[in-house]
Amino acid sequence: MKLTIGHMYPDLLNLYGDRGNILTLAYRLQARNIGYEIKEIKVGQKINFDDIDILFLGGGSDREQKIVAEDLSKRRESLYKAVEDGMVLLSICGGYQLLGKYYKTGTGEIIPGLGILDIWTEAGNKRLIGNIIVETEIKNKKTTLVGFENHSGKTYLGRNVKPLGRVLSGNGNNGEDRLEGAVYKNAYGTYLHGPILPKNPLFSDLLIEKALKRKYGETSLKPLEDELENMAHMSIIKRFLNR
Amino acid sequence: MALSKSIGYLSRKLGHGGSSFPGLIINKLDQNFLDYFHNQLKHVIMVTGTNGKTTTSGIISNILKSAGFKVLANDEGANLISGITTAFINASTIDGEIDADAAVLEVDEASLPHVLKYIKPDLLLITNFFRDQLDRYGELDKIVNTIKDALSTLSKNTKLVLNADDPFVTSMAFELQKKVTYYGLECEFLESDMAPSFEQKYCSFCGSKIEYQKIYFAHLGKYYCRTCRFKRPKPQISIKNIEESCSGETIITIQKENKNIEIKATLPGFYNYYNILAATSACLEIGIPIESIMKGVANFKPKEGRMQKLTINGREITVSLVKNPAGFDAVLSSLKNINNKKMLIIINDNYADGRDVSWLWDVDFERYLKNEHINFIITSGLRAYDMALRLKYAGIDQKKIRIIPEINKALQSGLSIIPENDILHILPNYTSFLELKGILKKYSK
Repeated sequence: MKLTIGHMYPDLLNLYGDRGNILTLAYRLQARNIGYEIKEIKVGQKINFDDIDILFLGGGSDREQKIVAEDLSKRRESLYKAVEDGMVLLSICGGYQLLGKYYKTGTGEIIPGLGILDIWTEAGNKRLIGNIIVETEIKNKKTTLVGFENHSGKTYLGRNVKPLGRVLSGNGNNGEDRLEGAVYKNAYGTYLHGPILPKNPLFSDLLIEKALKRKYGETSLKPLEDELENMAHMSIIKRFLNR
Repeated sequence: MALSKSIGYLSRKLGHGGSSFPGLIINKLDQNFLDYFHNQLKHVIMVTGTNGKTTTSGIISNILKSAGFKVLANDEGANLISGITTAFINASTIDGEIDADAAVLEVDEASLPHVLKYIKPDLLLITNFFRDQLDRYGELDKIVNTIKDALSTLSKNTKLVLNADDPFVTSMAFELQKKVTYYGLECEFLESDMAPSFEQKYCSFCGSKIEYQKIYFAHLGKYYCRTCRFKRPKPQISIKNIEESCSGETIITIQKENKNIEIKATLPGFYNYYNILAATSACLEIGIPIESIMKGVANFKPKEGRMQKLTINGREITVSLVKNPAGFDAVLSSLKNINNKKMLIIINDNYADGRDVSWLWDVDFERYLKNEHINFIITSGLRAYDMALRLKYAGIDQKKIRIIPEINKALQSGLSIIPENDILHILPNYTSFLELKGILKKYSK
């Protein structure tokens, strides 16, 4: 078995340690003797999304984001097809916003997005920043996700997506409806940096399992020793929940 | 004045560290008083940038002292307006005369525009701009833009000394109608080195990708814009050669107008060569004699936190401050060749550290920490678990990692495991460093 991880714009969207997500996927595949390959995808580079099993799209500062948006708009059709086909996609912060229908700026200008996720974002006047804890369900079991959010855009969900979870502490999508992230088929969008995957091993394994299932049919993952991961996760819950 | 002096005295007595507290009060009392002090000084030098400002301003102070100046400095790392005010107050006599003839001020890069409203330096030195404590300041672009605006308010007589190798720094001055002195590396033998903390830069003028002929460290190097005229300016003052000897002494050849100056330094690490070059450039610009520069660099002792060596209960420790990916990389790289390493890494996430510790994943542990060279690593501080997890994913054997969140216990444990005459390498970030300092003080009593 072998999975191909696509890392979109590693040279541009490299804020907030999001490359930790790639390190985590690689580590957890290797620990289970599952082969993997990391494909870095840069601006203008040809790529067939059919070859990608897990695609990662992070966030960057405004200028980088603009360059990325332009490049992504040229890839819109093939990315859309891959998501419809069940490709696993993890998008964070700016990347999450770009997958939506549009971004409305402070002056009311509408910047169209890729329209792959049924979400939209409006510029906010307050930065939503800090540690965040989200309650979610993974394989029918309630669990938590921990991370750090840092965004001023407020994202709202349409009917065709489900929220990734409910905010227990922090702001989430918009600081209003207590929802965080969006899920459509196997595509995930979230505001959680931290990075998200190292301290949320259940979520990491969910992405891996979905990718394996799509490629090889039903598979079950060998559990890993996650003591350190869980301790790091719990240290955040203890500090920031029920304050 | 008497009021604020006694406030400083009181707050030190009360154990506040006395570093910024009186400054806060005096700023409320009289916003123009800094100007008053300024007129009594021969040189007012300001140093700003993300990395190296403490060491660089320390070297400048030392050089000025060698040249016979009485130097005022905010050398407690208090680099916001309040801390700078405090430095002035501490150097003043009770009737408001200042007991110094030169000031070397380290200024926080985000505070620079604010500080410049009160103090106009004779020389402003900018070292570099790296991603640092992002959640406190917002994105780097914004800081650079506000500094750019602030620079245009400076008088013609203010000397600007800038790092030619950082496109973020030079783009600020590219359109400025001012004479600028640039410093940079011109070492042909240095090879390009690309780390994950490399941040691709885009031209501030046309938005195209900035290309590199050579990368020295992170995003510092020889660069040019693909489409427009923007490119690295040729430095007037440069390092031509670096010769490291095994005794720990380094000979740096600095060139200005075809004249070579050989400077001996004991500070290790590539980033310190930049600091020495920056300090030398500033001092040459204000006419300090070469002999004083050589002397000031040679006998400079690094500040606490910058790889300081101490002995505690017969065990040696080194303390190196790690505040951002590039700085952390630099410290790890200087420890790279030590076998059987014993380390204590302390990471807090207080406001002054930046609440977000995601940047730990941008540090290149994979490159600089090899499992076989590690004896043990203790992780400590508010983010001890995050740090430990980062090490696990960097391939460090979990049996070598111990998590002790309380800093005093972590230090105690580290000191108790190592044999006598061995070294514990301590890497704290900002507020954990302050905490550590307090604990070390108790040990020395």
